[in-house]
Amino acid sequence: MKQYALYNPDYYENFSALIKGLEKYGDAPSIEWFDRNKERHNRSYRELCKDVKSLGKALINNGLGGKHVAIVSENCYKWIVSFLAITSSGGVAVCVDIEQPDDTIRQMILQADAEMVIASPTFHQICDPLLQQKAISVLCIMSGDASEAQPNLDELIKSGESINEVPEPAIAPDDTAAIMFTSGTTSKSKPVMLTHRNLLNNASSSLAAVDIKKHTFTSLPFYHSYGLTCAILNGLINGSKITINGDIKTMVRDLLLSNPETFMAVPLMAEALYHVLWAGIEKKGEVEKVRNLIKRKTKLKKFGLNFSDNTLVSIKEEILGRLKVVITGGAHLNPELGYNLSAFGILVIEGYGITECSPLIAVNRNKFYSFGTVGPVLPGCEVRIVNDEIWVKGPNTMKGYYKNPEATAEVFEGEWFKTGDLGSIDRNGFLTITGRIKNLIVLKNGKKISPEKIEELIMKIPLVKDVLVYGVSTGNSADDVKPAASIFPNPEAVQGMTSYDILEQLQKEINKINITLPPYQQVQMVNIREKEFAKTSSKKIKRYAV
Amino acid sequence: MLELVQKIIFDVTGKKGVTLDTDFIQDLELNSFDIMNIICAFEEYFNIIIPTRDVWQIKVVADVISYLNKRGVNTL
Repeated sequence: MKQYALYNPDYYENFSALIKGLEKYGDAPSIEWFDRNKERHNRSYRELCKDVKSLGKALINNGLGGKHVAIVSENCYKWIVSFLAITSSGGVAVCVDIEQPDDTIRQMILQADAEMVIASPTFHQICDPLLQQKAISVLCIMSGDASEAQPNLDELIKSGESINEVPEPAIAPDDTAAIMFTSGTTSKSKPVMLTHRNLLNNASSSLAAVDIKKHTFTSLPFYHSYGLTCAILNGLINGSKITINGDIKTMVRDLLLSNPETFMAVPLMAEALYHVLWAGIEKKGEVEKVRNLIKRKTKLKKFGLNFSDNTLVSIKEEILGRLKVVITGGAHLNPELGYNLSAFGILVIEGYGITECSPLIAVNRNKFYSFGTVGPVLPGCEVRIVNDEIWVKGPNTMKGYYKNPEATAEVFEGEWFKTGDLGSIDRNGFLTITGRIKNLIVLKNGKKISPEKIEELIMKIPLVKDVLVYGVSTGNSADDVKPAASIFPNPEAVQGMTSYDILEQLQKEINKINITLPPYQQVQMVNIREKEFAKTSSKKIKRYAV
Repeated sequence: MLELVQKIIFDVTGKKGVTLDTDFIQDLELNSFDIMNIICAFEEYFNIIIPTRDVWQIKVVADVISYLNKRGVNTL
C-alpha cells in the first residue's frame, strides 16, 4: 500500500511529561478566547504550564491526586487547565457531556466514581445535590463565589503556587487518564477509559499526518474525544495558538475576530463557514463574477487544467482572512462542500474516528486527499476490514469500558477493536465509510440494509423533518423483517393537512424513491410520528430509544 | 422594525428581500450554526442576551420581531 510522507511531531508517554515538554514554547501564546464584549484574552504556554502545575500540586496536597475528578463545564481555558492538572497529577479526568439532561450529568459523574467535581457556575447547582448526598467529597466552582466549605478553582490554583514541589506521581503510559462517554447514537452512553498513551499518541500521530498550522480555532466540545485530542492536545503539542470558543452563538464572530489558519470543525460548521463566505460575496456585489470564475475553474478542471487565477483566493482572504484549512470529523462531509471551498483556496480535510479509538483512525492529508473518503489510516494504527466492518489495532484503542468487562469483551477480538462501522479501503489506502453495522437491517435472505442510506433519500422529501428506517417483522417469523420508515413530518410543511393527506403524500414520494432502489431495500411500511425523535448531543437520532 | 431586522439578516447572511413570513431554515436554507450567527448579531445590535432555549422558538422573521417586542427592545 502507498506510504505517505509524515511530519515529525513530539511524542509523550504521559501528561506529566507533556507539561514539561510544553514549557519549551515559553511566552508563545497557547490559548486565546474572546469574551462577550469581543475583548481578547490569552495565556502563554508559560502561564498555562504554571497554572496546570499549581492546580496539580493543590490537588495532590488536598489528597485528590490520582483520584477521579469530573469536569462539568462549557469550553473555556479553565477546562483545559483542569484536565491537564488532573491527568498530570496522576488522576483520571471524567469529561462530562454537558448537553445531557441534569439527571444524566449527575449519573455520568456517579457512574465514573468521581470524588471531586469541577463545575462552571452554570453547572454548579446541578452538581450540588451530589455533594449534599455525600456522593462526591468536593465540589469546586470554576469562577464566582464558592460556598463556605467548598473551594473556588482560582483559589485552588493560587494555593498551589505556594506549595513547594510535591513528589512526582508515578504514571504509567497505560494508566487511565480520562473517562469519556460514547455519543450514544446506537446504544446508551458508555464510559470509555482512555489511557495517557491512547490520547497522547493519537494527538501526536494526528500531527504526523496533518499540518494543522500555527494558529487554530475550535468550537468543538472538549468533553468529546474529537475536540480534546484533535483540537486541544494536538494543538498544544504543536506549539500552536489555539483560539477556543464555547458558545455557538459567537462561533462565527470569534472565528473572524481571531483570523486563524485552521478551523477544527464538524461538517455543519464547515457549511456555516461557506455560507459566511457567500454572504460576504453578496455584500460585495460580486456574486455573478464569483459564479463565473467558479464555472470556469470547474470546466478547466474537467480537462485536467488548473486555473491559476488568484481572484477567488483574494476574495476569500478579504472575507475569511488567512484561513487555509478546515478539518472535519464526527459526521459524513458532503464532498461537494470540499470541492466548493477548495475553489477559494481552503482545503477541507476529513477524518474519521470513534471515542473508543481516542478517537482518530484515519484522516486525509494536506497534500494527499480524496473528497468523499476519510483518508489513509493514521500512522501507528492498523485497520482491517472484516465482513465489511472496520477493525482497529494500535496505541489508540481504549483500555475498555469502565467497570463493564462484558461490554469490553464484546467489542474486542484479541487486540482488534471492532468499530461497528462499515468501510472499504481503496488501492491508494484511502478509507471510505459506507455505513454502521449496528444499525444494519439484516434480512432473512442474508441481505443487509444500511438505514442511513435510505434515510438520506427520504430526508430530501420536503414534508419530512426526521426519519428513522428500521426493520419490522413481516409477521411470518421473528427474524423475518422488511424495511420500514418512521417519519416525523415537518410541522410547517404539513400545516392544514390531515394525517391521511400527509400519509398519502409521503407514500407517493416514497414510491418514487423505491423505484430507484433494489427491491430488498424498498421501504414497505410508512408510519407517522407525532413526537420528535430523542436526539444525542450531536443531533443524531437515538435509535435505541425509539 | 422589519427594515432593521432585514438589514441585520442581510449583513450576516447576504440574503435580501426577507418578509415577515420568511422561514430561516426552509426559505433561507440556513443551518443551526447560521441561525446562531444571526442571533449573535441581534444580541450585539440590541445589547441583549438571547438564551439558546429561546432561539429554537424562532422560526420565521415575524418571530424575531415579536420576541424583540416581548423583550421590550426599543429600536428608536
